[in-house]
Amino acid sequence: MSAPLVAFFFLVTTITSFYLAQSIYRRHRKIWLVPAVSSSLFIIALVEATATSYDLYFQDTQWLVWLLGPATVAFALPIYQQRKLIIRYWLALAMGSLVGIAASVCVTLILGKMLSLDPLIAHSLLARSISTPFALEATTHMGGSAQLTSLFVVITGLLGIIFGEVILAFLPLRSKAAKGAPLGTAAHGFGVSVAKSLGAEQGAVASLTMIFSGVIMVLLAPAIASLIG
Amino acid sequence: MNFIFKNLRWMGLANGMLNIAQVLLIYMIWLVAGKAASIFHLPISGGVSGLLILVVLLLTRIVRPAFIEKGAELLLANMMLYFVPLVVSVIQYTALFESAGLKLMIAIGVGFIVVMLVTAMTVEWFFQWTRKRLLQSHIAVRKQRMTAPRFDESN
Repeated sequence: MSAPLVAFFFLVTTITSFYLAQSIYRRHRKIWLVPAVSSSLFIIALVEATATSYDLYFQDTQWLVWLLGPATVAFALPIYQQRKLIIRYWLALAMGSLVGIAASVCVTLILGKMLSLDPLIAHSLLARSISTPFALEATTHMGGSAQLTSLFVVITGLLGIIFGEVILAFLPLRSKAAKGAPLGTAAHGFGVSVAKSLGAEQGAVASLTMIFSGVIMVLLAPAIASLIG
Repeated sequence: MNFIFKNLRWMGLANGMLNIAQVLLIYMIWLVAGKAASIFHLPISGGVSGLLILVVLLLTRIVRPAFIEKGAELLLANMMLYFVPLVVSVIQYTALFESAGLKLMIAIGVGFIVVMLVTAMTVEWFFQWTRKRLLQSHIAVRKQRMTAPRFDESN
């Protein structure tokens, strides 16, 4: 097959395998069947088996990544829909998101030093707890790599699915908002899906803290970048 | 019967076209917001500035929710698909994950737990604090009622 044809083949395969994975996940809610993971694993195996270079794979599939831009704008809808919840809880949501980001950046910097991680990796880790479109934008400001950051984002999200509920169970939390908020700040979209399974209010709060912490992180990224030098 | 089926099919098509049109509207906002941000030298992309602009447009009723609702839902529902190509980039980093995989998992794991704990405690503390204040204000009002001279309500 010629190179453009291969690139196009991988675009089609990526889309179809994702929707296939999604329909399987609807029937079997298993952690290893999360669509983003199972379809990625399948594509990785296919790319490796055909000895295709990543550049060739990315040639046409970059258009999918490009859709993250308009998708970020679409987050305006949940914000508008939940405006009553925001008015009621705005301070709690803003504080939760802000403190979550501050904790994330501090811990990442300290651990980066302690584990003597490569600067590129350490910087790519900074934005790992926020939703992908925000993370990609923040990480370019903070000297991270978009590809590494998106990998770390997915790994963090999986931790949210596996351990999110367990960690919450250990905490003496009484308000529903306090159960939803950490899932949004620590595990973005993956955490929101966990929060939705806990209840409608938890889900709504999680999706709001996810968007809030994403926006706050992007706005603070230049300042954080100058702080870490 | 056949007539109804035909109509349904056309309605489905029309709905699909409408959703795509809404996605295009959101796309236009993203483009314009990106241009505006670069003109004003703001360090944010069309994504975040477009998000903020669209929230304002929705709140001021310049854009009605029905104009973008379906398109926004379509874009958000498929978001996981958009970063699959980025996850596949792991094939370029197999050496990194072999040499520093454990360190990375420690960094991500500890970070995750800390962010969860800190956010949960902050929000919970905040709620208990507001509850306490509310309770105190109730008690204050009640005390005032007890000490204030009573009016005869029968009049």
